[in-house]
Amino acid sequence: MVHEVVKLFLEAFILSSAIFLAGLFLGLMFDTWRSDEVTATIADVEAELTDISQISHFVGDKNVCSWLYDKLLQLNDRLYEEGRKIEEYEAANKLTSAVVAQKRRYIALKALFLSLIERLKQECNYDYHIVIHFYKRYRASKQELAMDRATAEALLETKYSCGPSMILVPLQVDLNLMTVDYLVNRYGITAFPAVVIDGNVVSQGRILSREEIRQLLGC
Amino acid sequence: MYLVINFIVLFTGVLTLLMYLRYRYVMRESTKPVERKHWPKITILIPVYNEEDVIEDTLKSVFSIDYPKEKLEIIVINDGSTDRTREILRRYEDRVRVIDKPNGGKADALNWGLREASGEFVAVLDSDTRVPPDVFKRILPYFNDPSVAAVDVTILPMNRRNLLERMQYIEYHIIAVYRKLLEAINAIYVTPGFAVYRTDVLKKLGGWDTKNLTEDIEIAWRILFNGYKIRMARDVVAYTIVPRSFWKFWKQRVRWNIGGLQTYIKYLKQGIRGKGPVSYYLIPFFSIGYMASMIGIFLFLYMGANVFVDTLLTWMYRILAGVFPPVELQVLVTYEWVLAALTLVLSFTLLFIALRHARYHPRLIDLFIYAFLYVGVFLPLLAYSFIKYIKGELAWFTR
Repeated sequence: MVHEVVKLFLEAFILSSAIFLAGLFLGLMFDTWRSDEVTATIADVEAELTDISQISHFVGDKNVCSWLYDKLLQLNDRLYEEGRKIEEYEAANKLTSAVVAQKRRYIALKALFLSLIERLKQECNYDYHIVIHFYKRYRASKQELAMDRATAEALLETKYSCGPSMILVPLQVDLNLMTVDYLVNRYGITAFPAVVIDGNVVSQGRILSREEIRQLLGC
Repeated sequence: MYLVINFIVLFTGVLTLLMYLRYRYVMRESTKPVERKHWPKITILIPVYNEEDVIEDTLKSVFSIDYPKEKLEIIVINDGSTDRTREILRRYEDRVRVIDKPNGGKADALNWGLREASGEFVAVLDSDTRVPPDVFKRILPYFNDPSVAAVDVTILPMNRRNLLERMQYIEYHIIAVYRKLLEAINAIYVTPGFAVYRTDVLKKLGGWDTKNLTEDIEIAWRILFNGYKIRMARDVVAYTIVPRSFWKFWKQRVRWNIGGLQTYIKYLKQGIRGKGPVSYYLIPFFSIGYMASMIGIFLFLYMGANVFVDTLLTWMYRILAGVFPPVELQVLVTYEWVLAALTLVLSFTLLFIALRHARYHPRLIDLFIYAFLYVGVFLPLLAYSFIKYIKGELAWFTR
């Protein structure tokens, strides 16, 4: 009987290990699908951004400015939505760090987008407000994370109500990206989350209410 | 941590499934009442403590047992009752022997009864349990095997009206099937409610352990540890009264858990080196179970505290920011979900196998509540029992 039960335990161990590994493998497949999707999206966004960046060299031509306006707003919406998706995927993918690597690429692209819209705002006299939301994700305390979540929600609600007059660019600061570090330095930001509207730091390390944002933007 | 606990739960599930696949033939076993010329004498021990509500019915059910009267000795041990129990018992003293003793707990009461027992077999009957009339005639054949020291039966709840009672009704069915399966590897680790023992074996083993909160678990482990077998007559059904209120249920289960822990620790040292079922199944199985539970408790507390703090802080800042976003329920399939789903499929398979063999088809909603709510109570219950045990609060919980 002893041998029989030991054999039973052993068989159960082998079988449950097999099921367990199969489960992990399946989980890994879901992770891979998601990171593949992110990679494809980023490549697409990158192409679009490069395209706009190229055409922006011809802003001397009046048509280009009016032409680019709608395109920029569309891209801004897309960048925002994709950014949210990447963060959701990042939270779900725990087996591999592929999404994190893609995210760096993505934030770098956003920084590029930011410099582009800042330049075009001046050169084409666009009237949109540029709102930058700096936040920490990895080295943040629970309090900072909660504060940031509420800030992001307040900004998003304002974005919906303000429409095309507001361009919202969330930038994660703890990804070791030179451009982002430079921007943080340029605005003299020391606490997070921080919100910069049209070059002015309006809040850092504190919660910004929806009402305040609306008043600042006047929409 | 999550992976460890998931693996352990998966492992125990697979182990049970393999056991079922290998030993499912035991489920087909049935008993038939036998007729004999010579019947062995049986002593029925009924320990009572303040049982004025049920004792009369219990005695009437015992009187209706189909067995030669001269071969049946009925001993009621009055464990210092303070209600009308003694008064009621007085009316039956022509047919029942009553031992009066100061209150000392069930195990102690049983030992008093065992000392006076003159039967070749001792049947222990809880005062809230009812047995069918042909119980002994069906059980006795198991004792043809001289190594069998005890035989127990299926126990089902008598009361099954409210939700908690119905949950226990499902659970008791499952336990009965599982216990029968354990018989195949001689590892029935508890003889609850009603069981018949060989008197000489009980006396040789020194009777019931008065320090243990669940004497029916401890005696089963001791019987197995000493090389005897325990069998189960699955088709003989005894009915018992189960707790109606959650608080009583909680107290009963804490007592069971602590008794189980006491027994486990008592046999851990000697059991590891032994060769019997205590060593090859009970100690490893309970060790794995306790380990998973401990990790589970910590994980549950850790995750619970995290979610609580996160939600609290987020809502605090949301109020400050003046935003009230709609609740978004988006679930992405993570590896944890995949593993949990696999484990859940396995658990439900086992649940349906058990219910099929029990020939019981609960309502779907009851089954759902059982699987996702009732079973969920076991973890905090065990955590509470651990704390009580460590703190040494071993008061007699039901009294």
